[in-house]
Amino acid sequence: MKKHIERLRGMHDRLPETYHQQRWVMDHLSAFLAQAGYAPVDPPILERSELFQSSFGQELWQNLYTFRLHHRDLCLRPEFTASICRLYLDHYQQQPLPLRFQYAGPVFRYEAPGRGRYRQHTQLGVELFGGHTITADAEILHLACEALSELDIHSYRLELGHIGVVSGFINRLQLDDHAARLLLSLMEQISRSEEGEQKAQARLEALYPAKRSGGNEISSNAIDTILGGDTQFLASLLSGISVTFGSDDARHEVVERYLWKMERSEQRRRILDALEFLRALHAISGSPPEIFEALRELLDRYELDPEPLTELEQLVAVIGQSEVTNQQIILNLALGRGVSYYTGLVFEIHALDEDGFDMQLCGGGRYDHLVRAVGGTRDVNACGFAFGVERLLPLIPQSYLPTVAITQVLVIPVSSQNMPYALRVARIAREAGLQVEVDVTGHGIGAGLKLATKKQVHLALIVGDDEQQTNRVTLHDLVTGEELMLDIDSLAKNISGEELPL
Amino acid sequence: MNSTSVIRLALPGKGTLESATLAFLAESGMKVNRNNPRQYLASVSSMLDLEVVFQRAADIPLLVRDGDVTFGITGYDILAEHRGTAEAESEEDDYDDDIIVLEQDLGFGYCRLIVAVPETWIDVSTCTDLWHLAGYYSMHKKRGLRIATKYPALTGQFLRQHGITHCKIISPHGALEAAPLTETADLIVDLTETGTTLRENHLKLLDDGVVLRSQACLIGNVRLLRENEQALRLASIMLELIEARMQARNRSMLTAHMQAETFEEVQHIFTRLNQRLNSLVSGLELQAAHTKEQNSINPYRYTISGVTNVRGSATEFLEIVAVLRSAGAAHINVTPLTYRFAEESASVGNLKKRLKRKH
Repeated sequence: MKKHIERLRGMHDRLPETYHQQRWVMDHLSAFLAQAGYAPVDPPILERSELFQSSFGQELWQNLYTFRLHHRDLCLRPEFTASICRLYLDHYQQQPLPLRFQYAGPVFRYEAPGRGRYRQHTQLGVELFGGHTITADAEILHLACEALSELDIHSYRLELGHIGVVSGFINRLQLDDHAARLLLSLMEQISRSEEGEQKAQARLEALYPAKRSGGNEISSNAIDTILGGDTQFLASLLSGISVTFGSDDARHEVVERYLWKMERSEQRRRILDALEFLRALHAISGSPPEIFEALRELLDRYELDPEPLTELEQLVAVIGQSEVTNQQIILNLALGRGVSYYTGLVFEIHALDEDGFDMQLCGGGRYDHLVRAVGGTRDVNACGFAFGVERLLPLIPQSYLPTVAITQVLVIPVSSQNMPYALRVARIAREAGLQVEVDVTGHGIGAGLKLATKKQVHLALIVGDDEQQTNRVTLHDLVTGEELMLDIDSLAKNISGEELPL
Repeated sequence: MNSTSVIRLALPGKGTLESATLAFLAESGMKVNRNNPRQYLASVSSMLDLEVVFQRAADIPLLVRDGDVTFGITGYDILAEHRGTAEAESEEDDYDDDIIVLEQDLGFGYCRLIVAVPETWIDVSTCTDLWHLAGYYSMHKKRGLRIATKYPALTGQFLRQHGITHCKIISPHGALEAAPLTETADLIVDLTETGTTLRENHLKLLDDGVVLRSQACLIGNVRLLRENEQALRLASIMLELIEARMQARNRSMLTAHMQAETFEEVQHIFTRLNQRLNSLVSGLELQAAHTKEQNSINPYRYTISGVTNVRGSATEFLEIVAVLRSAGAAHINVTPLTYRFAEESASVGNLKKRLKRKH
């Protein structure tokens, strides 16, 4: 027995109706972005895994479609940004900035499929390399909102954030990179839900546990001695333990690492401070202009640079130029995106789907270090955004979307001998700009006309031996039932003038 | 596929798992007949329509998934690696796979997949320490930790769960224990039963470094089980026997004869007996019945019987025997239990339910 081969979970077949609609959306947006100077590029779907691993700053990324071919780690792209940065390095490094690119195509993520979440979906977006931070940010933010407007999508929520606030705070705490990256990665979790916040806290508590008192822990006095830089003390302690170290270097490293471990409890307080700060930031989210006051106060209280806030204020003013109202904007400085490469502005656009569930339509921001992370010799200022095309579709008014074009003309050969002539007739009719099918069932005129009626075809062109010999066709109007003989030369003129339903 | 075709069961054909599997099947009433140990095909005399094929344990999940065999016994560690997750049953419906776990714990082939680090790493004893060390490596060595394992999928999942994403997993073909010594990897994730080999190679286990606890498991192909009634029938027989055998394990049947003049006296003796025995062993519930002698019931002789889970310890049995003797019991027999059948097989019912659901 033959096994039915099933479609993969989370993957979808796109059928004509959706295909046409999605194609239309993509063409429409692409033309719109091209008008703003964004040149279309199309990087390969398959890249080296390294590209995404280095852009995400980690080597284990669970949602990647990775595989190994001839001892090479390959990966279906989970997003475009890293690919576009690579493309920039490959072809455009010598060119003057700014450079604008747009892209569209499938991306792949191996996640649990769910409402509006597919393992393969289509992203359409832009990247803007170079330019001044605020003006470039303003351009892409404005562009993202205008693009939605082009599709007649007006009811959405724009969430604005800025990584600069949190990273400024973290920098001041002088945490190591590792801890800083952890905090940034927890930002998203914290701002998503209360449960996420508790999980984040539990995680931090586990990684930076409180000093246990009593027991067989080393006394704080000894820790002070060690932290005082007395590595000799620890080294001598180690030589007393019956563990063989390969070399003095190995012993030295373990000593150094042990000291590093001791510092953890010192870091704990700072880590928890950072968590507290993230909470405070998250608690103050809301719409402009009122929210700026509260945020400024918070930054003041923590003595943080208000620069990111000033930038956001300018951006809000820019968006005010488009049709977005202040009520649609939410400022959330604890907004963290799934990937770790953002350095400044971050934003997301959300809307409710037909059942009232929140859906993210668009995400973007600034990533000034990404070009270097994927192999560039220097940092290049860059920002961009991407839409999830499948999620846009249900929000576009039906009247905007094209319907599947139906066949207007059916050419019916009387017998198989008439097929070559039928194909010639079909070509002439197509040249007149019509959608023309040839009846290939081989059942003759009667069956052919029935088929035409069933398919709601307007016109049938019947070609038999008589027509073929005289270079004519019999035109049968299926709506009126009229029939007339036409010269093949006058066919185009006759039918293109018809008022045919599209 | 017609219903008379042969149904295949794949068994591990090498190593300790092979002998343990054969011993397990034999004691479960499914003795495998193999003419010589180099043959790859064999049969089970109690199940004529079942063909046994010997394969490498690591290949068995694939064979079952592809339907080349209907059933297989392999290590749960191997199955989990094949699926790429250590998560158990509850999420089974999520797999894009035709494998169903018929019995996860067959009670042999125990092992643990663990994280082991060089014993010189006095700063590392938990996964939290490992997370911090990953930070140390990326700052001071400008690279991630390198982990050698033959279980890259499970290792990756485990490390991600602990937030250790800056690391590199390598899968050498040779012995893993050597990797840290030869500096081809910093630590390893490997199987261990006792930890002896690790210690001999100057490695130590992390306190919370158990990636997976595993034993042998019985798996089957969902599609074949659903389409082929005969396969389902064989699955039911195997599950029933395995379940009954596992229930009987470490249990003994105890019988004795006793004399009494009146029914009241029997009841009295019996109550006291049960009380005294319950203080010795738990779960031993004796039952009494009139003894039949030459088709007629002897009103003064009783047979008492019960099942105990005393693990074959002779001294414990002697204590029970002493109690029985003091109550006047004679002809005390203790026999190890071979099978113990419940009113209906839980695992067979469960399988039928899951087959329905899994589509």
